[in-house]
Amino acid sequence: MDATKVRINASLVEKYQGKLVRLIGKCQSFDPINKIATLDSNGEVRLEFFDEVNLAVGKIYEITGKVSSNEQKVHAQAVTELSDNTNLEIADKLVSYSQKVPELFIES
Amino acid sequence: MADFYDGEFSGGFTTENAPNSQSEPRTRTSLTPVTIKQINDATQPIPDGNFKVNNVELNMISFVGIVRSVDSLPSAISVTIEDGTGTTNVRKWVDENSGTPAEAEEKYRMYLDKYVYVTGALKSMSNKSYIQNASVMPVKDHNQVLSHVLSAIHHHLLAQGIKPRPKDEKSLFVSESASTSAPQLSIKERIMKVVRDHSPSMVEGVPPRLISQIVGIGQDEVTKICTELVDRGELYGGSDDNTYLLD
Repeated sequence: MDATKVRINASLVEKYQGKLVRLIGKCQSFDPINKIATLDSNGEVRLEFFDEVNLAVGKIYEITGKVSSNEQKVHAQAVTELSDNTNLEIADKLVSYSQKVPELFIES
Repeated sequence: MADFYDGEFSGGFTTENAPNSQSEPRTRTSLTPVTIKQINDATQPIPDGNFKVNNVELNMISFVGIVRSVDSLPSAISVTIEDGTGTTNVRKWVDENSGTPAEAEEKYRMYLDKYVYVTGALKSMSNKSYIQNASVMPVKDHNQVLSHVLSAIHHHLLAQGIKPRPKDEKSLFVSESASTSAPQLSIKERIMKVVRDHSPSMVEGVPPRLISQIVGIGQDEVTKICTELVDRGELYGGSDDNTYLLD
């Protein structure tokens, strides 16, 4: 868990292919058998899990994981459930602002 | 950094007429919201002096992060916390008068994989930094996480001499669509909103200076209005008479 995980949303998935990321969004679908889910993070993000996980559709989660290097999906490594009132609009603004001050977020 | 907002958002920051931040080092005695990367990047120019990172002096600090491991030491519990920018360890000494080491360990194990809000004093020993008198509290409303990180950005930019646009009274913390679609708020309502929004991450109180910058009115006027609101019981004072809080 030491490596920097850049805060992104759906619009930045392609830019961070192969990188460790952190994204906040609302669970839109979850398939526990195939261990896949979709997250609304200012757009749809496909998630793939290696470990057993239990998500609830409609709940808000923060996902840390690695963006696939050749597909538009994130291999999730950790899931944190956030409170239902988490403001996703503010979360998107945080993504935008954190991109502009890398000295606070990203190892050079 | 020259045009922080790139015209993307109303509000934001500008370097226009920015003061020479090098000549005005900032000294803070209140809690400074930071990311863990800032803690790890901080240096101590003077032995036993304050830490400094990107022109921000760090003394009392606060940060948010997810507990990733809890380890029991002979007389303390070591809590490892990460926030996506880095990892740090917080050591909580076990007070055997208030519980056994096992009970203390169990308490912090309940925080595993959950967000916590940490405050404490950044100190050094043997050239290694640590957080003295750390307080580790679980986060229940995760807007506190967003607010905290935005506050860390805000403090960092102010220390670089980048100030909010005075002509636009919107802040980082007010959504653009909400501010255009919501009914126009009075000055008092806007002040109370700023205090309410910042209270979770500024537990010692929201300073009038920050309120003044966000609302876009003079600091004296902010203090006058806040004093009236405190007298009416609509706000309450922070750790000193010049800061304000609201649940």
